[in-house]
Amino acid sequence: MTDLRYERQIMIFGKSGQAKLARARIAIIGCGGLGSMASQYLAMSGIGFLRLIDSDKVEDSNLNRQFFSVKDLGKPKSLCLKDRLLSLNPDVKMEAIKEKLSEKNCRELIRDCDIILDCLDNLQTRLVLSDACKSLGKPLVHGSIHGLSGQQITLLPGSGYLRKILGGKKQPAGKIPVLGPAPGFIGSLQALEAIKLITGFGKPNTRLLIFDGESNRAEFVKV
Amino acid sequence: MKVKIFLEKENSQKILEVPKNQTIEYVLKKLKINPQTVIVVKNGEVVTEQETIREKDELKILSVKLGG
Repeated sequence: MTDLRYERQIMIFGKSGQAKLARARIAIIGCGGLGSMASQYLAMSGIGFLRLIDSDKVEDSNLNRQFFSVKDLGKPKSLCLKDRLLSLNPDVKMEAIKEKLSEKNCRELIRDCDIILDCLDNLQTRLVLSDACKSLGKPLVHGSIHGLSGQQITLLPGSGYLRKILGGKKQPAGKIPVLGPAPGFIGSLQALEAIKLITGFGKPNTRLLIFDGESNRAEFVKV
Repeated sequence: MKVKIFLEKENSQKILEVPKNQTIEYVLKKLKINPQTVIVVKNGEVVTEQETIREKDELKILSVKLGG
């Protein structure tokens, strides 16, 4: 770790905050629009360990919003993201997992991490992850998007987690429309939330942020 | 009683006449909205469809966002 690289953020939370980042372990569940953005800021901030989980391969239709290159087409997202993040910050320890998160493997994949980022793209897996985080007492930093819009909330032990917001809802059929800056914005917020939780600087966002980039509306609602 | 409702999908506001002691479920049915596709916020708080509505309540009906 070089103090020079992190000097602007050490101005915010001090060397002790930076040392906390260097010791932190984070699981990024989903390496698409949200995960590829959130993980970049986390790697650049000097997080100690990132576990990148995604079973998909890079497709051409991902490249309007996900940080992969045409050279990555057909390759596993988790491995491509790991390579990209290592080029940004080789000091971060990383593990790429080419698996789909399920009830079977979920707890094992998150158990040794301090914070979990929900960067998934479907309801069913989001709820599986949320239930596991709730039972293990892990903070879950949720983000999701649609079109030019998105939502974000940080769910802490003792809260109702995602079932309180998304329980009983339905996954829409077909592909979800999305413009790159929407996951860019929400994914950045997820990284910010994780950094705040680790360093203890600032307050976590425990209300649901609803951002509508089409009609320029943003609000925080209680959950 | 009259209830103010914001519909995110249409980016529009409506005033709906709702009988006393009715629930969110009634409002969604009246507006022909599938409850599985929306999150309902009442007076700034996420609520379930079973929540009762009172005079001067403000509802926001937000689309479920699940993409990543």
